[in-house]
Amino acid sequence: MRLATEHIRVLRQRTRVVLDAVSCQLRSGTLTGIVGPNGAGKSTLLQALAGLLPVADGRVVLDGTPIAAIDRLNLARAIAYLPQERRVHWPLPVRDIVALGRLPHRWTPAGESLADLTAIDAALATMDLVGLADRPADQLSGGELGRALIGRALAQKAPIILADEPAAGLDPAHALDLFGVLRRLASDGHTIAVALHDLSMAARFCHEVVVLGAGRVAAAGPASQVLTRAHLEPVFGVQFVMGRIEGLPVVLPTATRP
Amino acid sequence: MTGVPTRSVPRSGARLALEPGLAVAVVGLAVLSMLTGPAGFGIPPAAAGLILVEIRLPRTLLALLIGAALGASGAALQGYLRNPLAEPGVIGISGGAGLGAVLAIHTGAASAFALALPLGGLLGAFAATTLVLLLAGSGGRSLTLVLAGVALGSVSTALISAVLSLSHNPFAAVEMVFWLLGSLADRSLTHVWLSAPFLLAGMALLLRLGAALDALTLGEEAAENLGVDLARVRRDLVAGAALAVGAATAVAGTIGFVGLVVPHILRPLVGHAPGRLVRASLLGGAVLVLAADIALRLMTPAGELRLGVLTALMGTPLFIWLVVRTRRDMAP
Repeated sequence: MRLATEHIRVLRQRTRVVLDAVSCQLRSGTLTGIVGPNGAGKSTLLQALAGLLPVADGRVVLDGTPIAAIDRLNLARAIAYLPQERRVHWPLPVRDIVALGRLPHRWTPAGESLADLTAIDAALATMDLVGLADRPADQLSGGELGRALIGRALAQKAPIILADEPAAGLDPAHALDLFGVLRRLASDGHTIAVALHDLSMAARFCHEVVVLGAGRVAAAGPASQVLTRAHLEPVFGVQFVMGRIEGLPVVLPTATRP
Repeated sequence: MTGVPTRSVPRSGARLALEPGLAVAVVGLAVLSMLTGPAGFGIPPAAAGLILVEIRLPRTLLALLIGAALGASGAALQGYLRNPLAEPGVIGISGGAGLGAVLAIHTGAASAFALALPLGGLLGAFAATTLVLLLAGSGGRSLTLVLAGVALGSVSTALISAVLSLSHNPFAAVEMVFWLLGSLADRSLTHVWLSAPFLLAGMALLLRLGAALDALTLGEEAAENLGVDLARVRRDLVAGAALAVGAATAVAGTIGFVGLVVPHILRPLVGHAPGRLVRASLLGGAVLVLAADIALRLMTPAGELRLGVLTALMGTPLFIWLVVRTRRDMAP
């Protein structure tokens, strides 16, 4: 599925412009990274793409249909959104957290269907949570909780996944696994976008990259063409060293620019 | 990654047995409530029939319905606000109902015709609900709702005190205080017919919120992404709680602590899921109020102690126990 913003303008507190004239597109089979400094509008862009924010100008389009015209349940089945906020308000066991992802598929009081059970078990296995399934949320580490919440988004079985810093707090092994999973989902035909700060990870795993600076698109396109010093340094205000180590791309910030 | 579809977590037996167990307790206590009272066996059958239908049946039905309404409202509010300390008072509804009833006594309407008191309570509850919703605004966020509710609750309390202190008739003042303390004594079947439609409609609205409350466990953004209409959930929650708590307060006065304590006790037993907790607390609230009302009749057959006083007296030690348990759980 194709999800795109067309010249959107998003305001917060009624007057503060957070996104201005932002056009970007997410395509099926593609893992898109959204990068930019703090406050550049990465989270806002993901929320707008997920249909969670009113757009002051322009529109968000899902396969040719304006997202505002799609009812909530169909939208929930099409787009799984993982907020940056990692909070579970009641100490639910991990399995029950993951099972919440099935809600858009069973808003009737019926119990879990075979499809629900399959999706939940698959999400638990993918996020390496099988051993933690019975552990209550308040006894999880930050990274484990993060994995459980990603598991929820996977169990939603939506063709589009939007994740706001999904790798934050994950150890290197689980972070690599996560991007491997996202990349595999993309090659299965999913449409995936992640906001992230680790530019080396973006260079290694993302097919496409959108660079946001101060609420506008500074650059967008294939990762190898966008993640260059010319594009990144003015936006981040940092000098970068770029290269490859043992064949893997590395984007290393070295010094803040004077 | 589609393996054999088995449940990775077996649902524990205790969780499955909880609701049937509570339902059995409700039925058992209701029967016991019909059998409890100062009139013993050996009175003429006609008189016995009259006592059962005119005195004990309304009392039993009201204890059951009001307990269920308070328990379910407390659980739904705690789930929606994601705060274990929420109770029907925080959104200002019981305060409004109390004010309406006190005004009915003060103006003399209550002595003119008996149903003016519960009708005044219902009116007060609806006025308070309307004001809270207007004040809280149209967005779906929960914080404004609490702020508006607390503000309105404080105003109601202040106005109740004002009416009490302005009351020239000491008998009316005593009646107001006693009514505010909460009781199920001397209620008739008319009170049941008057309040039951509101109580049942309110509970039906609250029970329908189960899945949305579960989704809100992940926060408002994630819940919205799971298909929850936040504005509608808030409207249904406030309407449901207003119908249930407003009608309960209107016929029985303030019966405190039920909406706070029952969800607290049952929460771990339902695996902390806020949706399941509404159902369980509905049954649990009925159990608690039925039991308290039976205990009251056994302890003071002449009816000196008020039900609201007893639920508060029973609730406080339970609450202290919860504090101790939480402290132990939070110990490093």
